Amino acid sequence: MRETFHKLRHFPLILLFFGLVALYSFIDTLSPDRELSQMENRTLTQRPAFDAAAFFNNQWTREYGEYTKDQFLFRDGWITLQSFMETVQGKLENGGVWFARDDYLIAKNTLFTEVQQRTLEMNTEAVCGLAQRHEGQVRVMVVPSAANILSDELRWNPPQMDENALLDSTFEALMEAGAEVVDLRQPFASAHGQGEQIYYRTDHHWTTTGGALLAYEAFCGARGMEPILPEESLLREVPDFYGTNYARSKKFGTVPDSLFYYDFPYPLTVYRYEQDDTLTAETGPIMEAETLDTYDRYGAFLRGNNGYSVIEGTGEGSILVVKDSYGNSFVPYLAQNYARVGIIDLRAWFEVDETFQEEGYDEILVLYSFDNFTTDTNVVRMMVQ
Amino acid sequence: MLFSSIVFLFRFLPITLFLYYVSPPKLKNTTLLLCSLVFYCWGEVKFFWIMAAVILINYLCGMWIDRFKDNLRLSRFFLVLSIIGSLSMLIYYKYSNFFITNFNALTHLNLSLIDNLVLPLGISFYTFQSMSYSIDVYRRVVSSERNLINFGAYVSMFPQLIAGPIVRYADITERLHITKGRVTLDRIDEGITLFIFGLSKKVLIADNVNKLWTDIIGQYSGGELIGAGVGLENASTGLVWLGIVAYTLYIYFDFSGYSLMGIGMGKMLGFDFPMNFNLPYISHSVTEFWRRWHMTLSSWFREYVYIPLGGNRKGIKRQIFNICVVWFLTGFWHGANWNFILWGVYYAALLIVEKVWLLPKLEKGRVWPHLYTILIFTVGWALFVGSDPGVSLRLLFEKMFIPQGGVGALYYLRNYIAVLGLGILFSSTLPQKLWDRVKDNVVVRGITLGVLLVCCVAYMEAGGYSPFLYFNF
Repeated sequence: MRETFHKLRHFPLILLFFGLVALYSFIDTLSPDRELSQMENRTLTQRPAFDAAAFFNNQWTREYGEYTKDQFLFRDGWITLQSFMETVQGKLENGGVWFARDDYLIAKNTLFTEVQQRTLEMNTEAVCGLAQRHEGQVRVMVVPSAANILSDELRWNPPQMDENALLDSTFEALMEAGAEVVDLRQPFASAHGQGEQIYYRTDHHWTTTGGALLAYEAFCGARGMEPILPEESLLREVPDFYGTNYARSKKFGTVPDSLFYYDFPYPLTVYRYEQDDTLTAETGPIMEAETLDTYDRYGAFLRGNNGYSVIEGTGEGSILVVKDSYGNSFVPYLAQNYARVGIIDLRAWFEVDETFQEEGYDEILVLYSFDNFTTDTNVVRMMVQ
Repeated sequence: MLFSSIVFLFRFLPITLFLYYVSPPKLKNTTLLLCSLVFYCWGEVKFFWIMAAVILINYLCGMWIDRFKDNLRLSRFFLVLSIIGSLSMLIYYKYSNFFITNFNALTHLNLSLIDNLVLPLGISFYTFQSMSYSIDVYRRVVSSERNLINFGAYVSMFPQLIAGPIVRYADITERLHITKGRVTLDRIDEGITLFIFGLSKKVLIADNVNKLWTDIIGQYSGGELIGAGVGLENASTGLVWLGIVAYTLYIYFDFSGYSLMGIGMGKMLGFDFPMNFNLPYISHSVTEFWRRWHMTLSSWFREYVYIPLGGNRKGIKRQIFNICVVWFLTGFWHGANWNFILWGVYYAALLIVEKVWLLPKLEKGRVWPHLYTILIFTVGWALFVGSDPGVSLRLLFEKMFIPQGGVGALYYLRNYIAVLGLGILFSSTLPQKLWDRVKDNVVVRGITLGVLLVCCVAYMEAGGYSPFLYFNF
C-alpha cells in the first residue's frame, strides 16, 4: 500500500482526477435536494421511491438517473457553462429559442405538427360555436407570434411555418360564424417597423406598453370606443426581467427586459372553488406584488392565472374576457372603459355560457396567442355540454 | 446505464472502482462480476437471465470440450451445443420477426408476429464473445476456464458488456488470471486519458452533431416520436446531404467514443482491450476502411467465419464467395432488416471490385482515393440508416440523387458549423499528432483533460436523453 502511494507521486493526474471526481460525488450525494429551479422555471425531479414493478420495466432506474442529474451540485452553473459554450460556437438557437438580432430571444416556429393542426381546428370550432350562440356579442383576438411579426430579426433565414396562412383561414372561419375578428398583424407590423418593442426580448409574452397597448387600441377601434391612455404617473418599471425564453435557452449574456405595468387602483376579485365546492372570493390589487420579485415576474399580472376573476372598472357596461396568459397584461386597460371586466382562464374554469348568463355580461372577448390557440386543449371547455 | 450520464460517472464508477481497488486480489474478479451485474440490471433487469444462461452454457460446454478433447465427436458435439445455445437466444430475440415477415411475404401466409419482442441489452456483443470462447477452446487456442466467476467476469465485464469492443477470451485470459498486480498505475493513467477522450467524442461531438440529423428526421425513443423534425419529405437535397454528413460524423464519434471509454475503463481495471477504431475516415480505399472501422467485429468474422471457410487460400472464386458470406453476416448482425443486408452486400461488392481490379490503382493516387472512400462510406451510412424511424430508404435515396427543393441547408450549416468542423478535424490525424507532441508534459496533459472533462460534464448536465446508438444491437 505504502509502495503504491509512493509511486502515485509519479502519476499526479490519477490523484487529481480520481480525487476530484470522488470528492465531488461525495459532496453531491450529501448536498440537499432542490424542489424548484428558478433559472429553468420548472420543478426538479425528486428521489423516486423504490417500486419493484417500475424497476422491472426500467422506469425506476431511468427516473433515478434523471433525479441524479437534476439534483447535481451546482446544476445552474453547469447549465450556464454549457450555454456559454454554445454561444462560443456561434449557435443560432438553443432549447427551442432563436438567438435573434437586437438581443431578441424568439421562440422557434419551424414546425407545425399534426397535433397542432387538430388542436387549431378544434379550438376554432369551439369559438365558432360560442359566436353562434351569442350573435353579435363575440370578438376574437388571436395574437400573432413574435417569430411572425419579428421575422426580420431572425438570423440566417431559418425555416418557418406559414403562420399567416393559418391565421387567415382561422379568421375566415370565425367571421363566417359571426364573430368579429380583430387582426393585430397590421398594427404590430407597422409599430415594429417604427422601432416599438411589441414583445419582450426574453419572454414569449407581449410588452404592456407595446403589444398589449396596441391590442387595446385596436380593440377599441373595432368596438367603436375611445382608447384611454393611462396616466404617466401610474407607470411602474420592474427591471431585470429574465422571462420564459431565457429559461428555455439560458443564453449566455442575455440582455434582460424591464417589465412595465400601470398601477391601476381598480380592485380585482378572484373567485375560487374550494375542495368542498364552496365559492370563495378574494379581493385585492391587480398586481401580485410578491411575484414581481421572483424570476417569473410576468406571473404578477392579475395575481396569476385564476379561473374566474372580476375587475371593477370606471367605465360603462361589462365584458367577459376568455383568455390565456397574454390577456393578463391586456385586461387592466379595459377596466378604464368598462364598469365590470370578467376574466376566465379555461385552464381552471369550466363554464363560459353559464358565467356569461348568470353574471349578466354584455359581450365576450376571446383572446389567445397563436401559440396557445394551437396547443391549448382547454379551449374546448367553452363548448356547451 | 449510459457511460455519458451523471449517475454513471459520479455514482457507479467511483463506487465500483473503489470497491475493486480495495478488494483483495483473490476477490477482484468476484467484485467485478457483481458490479457488472448491477450495471446490467440497472439497464435491463428483465433479460438478465438470458445472459446468465449464455454464460452458464458456454462455461459448461467449454469445460466438457476440454475434458473430451481427445474424443472428436464428443468435443464437437459440445462445441455445436454451445454455439446453438448462444445463437438461439440471439436469433430468437433479434431475428424471429424478420424471418416470419419474410416467410409471410414469400408464401403469402399470414403467420402472426411475436408480440413485444424486445432486444435484450448487449446480446449481440456478449453472444459473440462467448462463441469466440468455446470455438477457441475447441481449437485448443486456450484451455477452458475452470472458475465460473472468472468466466462470468469475462463475459459480463461492464466496460465492454453493452457495446463492445468484442473482446476474445484469448486476448484477456492472461490478465484475467493475474490478480496480484493486475492494476498498474501506468494503466490507470492511460485509462483516464482514453476515458476522457472517449467521453469528449461522445458528448461534445457525437451528441451535438446528431442534433442536426434529428432536426431533420425528428427524435424517436423506442419507435415513438418524441420531438418533431422538419421531416425528410420536406427537406431539400442539400439539407439531406448535410444531414447524412452529420450522421456520418455522429455514428463514428458515438461508437468510437463509447469504445474508447470502454477501453479506458478496462485499463483502469488492469485489462488491455483491443482498439476498435483507428481513424477510419482517413482511409484511401474501402479495404483500408474496414481495417480501421469496428476492428474487433471484422477480426471476429475473419477469425471465425472467413478463415474457416478457406479465406483466400482456395482460389479467387472461393475468396469472393467467402467475402460475400462474411459481409452478408456483418450487415445482418447490425440489424434484422433488409437495408442492413444491403449495406453488407454493398461493401462486399466494393471489396471484391477493389481486390480484383481497383486496389492497385487506388494505391497510386493521392487525393482522389480518399475522396472516393469518403463518398463510399457516406453513401454507405445512408443505406445503414434507411430503416430507422423517421427515415425511408427509398425517400432518402430519392432526395439524395434526384435534386429537389425544400427546406434549405444554409441555416443548419451555419448553426452547426462549429461541431461539423470539429468533427471533420478530429476524424483526421492532426489531433493525434498534436497530442503526441504535448502529452509528455504533465501540466499540458492535465489541463487538456481537465478542460475536456469539465466541458463534458456541462453538456451532460444540460442535455436531454441521448442514448448510445449501438444500444440496439
